[in-house]
Amino acid sequence: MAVDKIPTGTTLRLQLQTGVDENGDPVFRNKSLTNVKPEALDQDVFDVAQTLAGLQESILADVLRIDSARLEEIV
Amino acid sequence: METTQTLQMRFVTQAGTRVTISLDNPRDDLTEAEVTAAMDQIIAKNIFSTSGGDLVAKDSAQIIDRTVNVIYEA
Repeated sequence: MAVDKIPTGTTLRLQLQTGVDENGDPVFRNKSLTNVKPEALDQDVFDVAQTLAGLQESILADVLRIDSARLEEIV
Repeated sequence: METTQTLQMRFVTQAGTRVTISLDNPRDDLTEAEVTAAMDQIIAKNIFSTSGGDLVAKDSAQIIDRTVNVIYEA
């Protein structure tokens, strides 16, 4: 039986380095933006992530795209 | 006393409702041109969808200062 994959939502997560701790290790904070269109192009999502990060003080360490989907059986 | 700042960018959706994107710790030297350019790019890239549909226009942008004065702490 075949299974269909139906996109349910996409989240853009910015991993921001806010500073370093007492051991000199980087401290990260996540900023998540839900309501990203599942069909949005990676390039566009990346560009927006960079633009948003450019407005604030922390360093953009990573850009994560989290795609969710529902699996449905086709009968 | 601890002060935090938040940049709030408000957009107008297709349905005419307002949607806010908030960012903590905005840069101190942010200019109006930078913020409006960023908002224009977000609208142009059109990667966000809300209950009111796509973001179609800029509404406003503001920086909110929040100061916390601890009166009592156990």
